[in-house]
Amino acid sequence: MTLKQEREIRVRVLEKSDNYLKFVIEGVLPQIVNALRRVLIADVPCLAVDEVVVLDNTSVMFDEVLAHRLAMIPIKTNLKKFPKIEECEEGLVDPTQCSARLVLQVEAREPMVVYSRDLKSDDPDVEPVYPDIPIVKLGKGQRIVLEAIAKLGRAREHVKWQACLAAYYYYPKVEVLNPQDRRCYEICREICPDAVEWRDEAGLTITNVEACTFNRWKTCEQSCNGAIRVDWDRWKYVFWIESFGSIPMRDLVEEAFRILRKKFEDLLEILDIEILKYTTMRSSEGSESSQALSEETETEMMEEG
Amino acid sequence: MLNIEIVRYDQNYLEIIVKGDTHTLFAPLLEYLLNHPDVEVAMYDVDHPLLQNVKFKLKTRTRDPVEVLKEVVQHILKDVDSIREQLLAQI
Repeated sequence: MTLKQEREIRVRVLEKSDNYLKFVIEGVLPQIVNALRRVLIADVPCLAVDEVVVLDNTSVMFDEVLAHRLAMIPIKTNLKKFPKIEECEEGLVDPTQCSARLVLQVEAREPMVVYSRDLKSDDPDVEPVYPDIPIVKLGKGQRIVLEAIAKLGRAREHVKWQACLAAYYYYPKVEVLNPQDRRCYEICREICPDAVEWRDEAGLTITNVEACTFNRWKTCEQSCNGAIRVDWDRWKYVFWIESFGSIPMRDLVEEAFRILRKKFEDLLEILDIEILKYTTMRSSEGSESSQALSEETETEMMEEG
Repeated sequence: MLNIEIVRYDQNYLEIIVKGDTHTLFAPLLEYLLNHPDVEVAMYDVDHPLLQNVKFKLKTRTRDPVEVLKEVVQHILKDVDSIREQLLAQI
């Protein structure tokens, strides 16, 4: 099948680190790019504390506030070790497989701060991403003993299950109309420091269009009185993902694509079942009514006869 | 989990109500459908942000709407896979 509008898809990574990924995506309609963004921020599962059994809490913080603070702590999640999120949601697996247990047990001999590192888990893979998140301050003699159950969930339900931030913007198409405008260069240099350069003969030169966001280029354009023009293309975007650290970037991207794919596959699969139900229902209705009709004519004929 | 209720289905028309997903699924689907040469009308509407019932309508010119829908989904999946492979090869 060929669509009315179609282009070659190209992806090029601009920046990558453990928790950050930035890439250019070209030849794809914005709806697909947006679907990917939506899946990343709302549908990719991760672990977060969802149930807290407080055995002892003599701190000044209420149990529920403490529980809320625990929930906000990002927890390392190895998705390969857990069942798929939809299996957990549909109850196809034992719920304990979709959760992990952490214990917090501290008693203050002197005034102290309880940190996320004090949360101990049975599983070495499950631990807070950052060890130095303060949870609560304890005065001398105060005590906290609790059990926290971290569950796999989606940010759709609560932000504590959000694994990353993701956004995209137009790939800027920048054109210099008046390169000799020194004032424009001064302004742009401030807005986009690594993207422009002043060269002896050429004047205002763009050295790296990707070093600046679309919005910054637009600001630069509007402060320049027509010396540069910034345009965009509906088919080309810069996309970035910033992970909270709970899931490694590669797993995060893989899981996002798996979920996105599954949405479309599920649609077809369930539609097929429903269509079958619908058509059998219609045909049985149809045969019933035709049967009723023939019975009617029979009686009519008998009466006439 | 997706829940689909079929309101009407005949030769050139399909109308369904879907629960369980909204714009993530339907925005790309609609754009690809409108790009399909056999599609006359395609639309979706989310009734309320809390209820999230999606009404989806598709009218085709000559072919079976479900067939067209399947073709379009295959195309989306192909594109999604292309992005996925290129991206994963670089990270």
